[in-house]
Amino acid sequence: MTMKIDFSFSSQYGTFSDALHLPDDHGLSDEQIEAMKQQRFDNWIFVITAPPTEEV
Amino acid sequence: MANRYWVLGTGTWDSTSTTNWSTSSGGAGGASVPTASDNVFFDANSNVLATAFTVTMATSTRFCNDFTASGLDGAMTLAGASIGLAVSGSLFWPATNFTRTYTGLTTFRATTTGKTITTNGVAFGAVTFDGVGGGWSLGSALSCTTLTLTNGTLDLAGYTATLSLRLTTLTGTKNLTFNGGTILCTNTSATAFNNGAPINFTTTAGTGTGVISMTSASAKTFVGGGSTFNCTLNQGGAGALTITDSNTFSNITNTVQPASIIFTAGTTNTFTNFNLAGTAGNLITIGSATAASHTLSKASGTVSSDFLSISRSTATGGAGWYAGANSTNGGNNSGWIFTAPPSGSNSNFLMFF
Repeated sequence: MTMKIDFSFSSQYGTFSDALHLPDDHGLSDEQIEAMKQQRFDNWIFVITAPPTEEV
Repeated sequence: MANRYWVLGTGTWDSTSTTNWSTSSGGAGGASVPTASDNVFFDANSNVLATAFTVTMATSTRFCNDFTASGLDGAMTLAGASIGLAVSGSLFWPATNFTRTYTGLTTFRATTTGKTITTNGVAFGAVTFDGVGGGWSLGSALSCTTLTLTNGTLDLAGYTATLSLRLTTLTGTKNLTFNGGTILCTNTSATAFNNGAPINFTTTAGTGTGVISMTSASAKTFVGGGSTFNCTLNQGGAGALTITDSNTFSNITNTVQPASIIFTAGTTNTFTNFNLAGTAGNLITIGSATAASHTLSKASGTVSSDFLSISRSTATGGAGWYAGANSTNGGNNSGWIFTAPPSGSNSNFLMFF
């Protein structure tokens, strides 16, 4: 079974809305979960600020 | 419909090899290669002990019904050189221990509704939704290079879909439902948003406010195709935003300034709300792509903007179009009033006396 944690960040590029789906027995601390959210947001910022590259 | 479980760690998912397929989690290999009607599972028993493993898709597009990677206890890489993945059902990728490196097209081809796509922060390459009567809801944000809508309904379900190259519509019956979600087009391109097949393309607002945001810092184009967009179109990057065709929008906004919004001359774009505005020294420029006028239409209420620079723009439809006292009349305009709205008037509200 998995649990879903919705989260969002606001930025100059708009609102980033995402969700973490984790096993019920994930064993992660609150700090680790917050770090995962931040990582998702950082990855998103990287994608939208990086020059696009065509992928086949 | 059968279930197929990946076993024995690193291997090749091609059209003939049965080595890594089992009928049960952790069971013996040798089961038949999954077909488009079979569910595939990658779990804690897919690898040897807790080692990393790579599943390399090969031969040609790999098919399945549901694709579920969950509970992995070793790092899984889904690989393949120019090999696509075609999913007839739902897709779930885990938040940890999963990497996508395959470079082919991912196609969602369900022909029934109720499918979900949960990528948990893992980006796709190119993605196509092409199932007549299909319906997919996002279970988390989606990131991809290109997103093509051909057939079916894609419900953003409040999440953010980020497209680094473009969104394209192709011939078919397709719907984009927002439910508060956002399409973010980040590319600098004449086809960053390309509604090239607007026939039988619809949008649904759902709950909340949906947004299509064009964020490139360089010039980009929103090819509207003459459709109705039940969402907000946002100028979200410093590069000029060109809007082609005569479209209908719930709203238009900007989150950066200075910036330009350029309409194709001769078109009429209709808005329920119009909320473009600059700031002192950072004007929002509204103009036409060529030396002729475009038309902006709003049926009622008051447009209350400021710090605009407007040229070749006809404002009409019944609303009061107040550009604001700090806006610039660049000439060849009609219907714009270059003052603040009368005291007491308010955008989008009817006034009763």
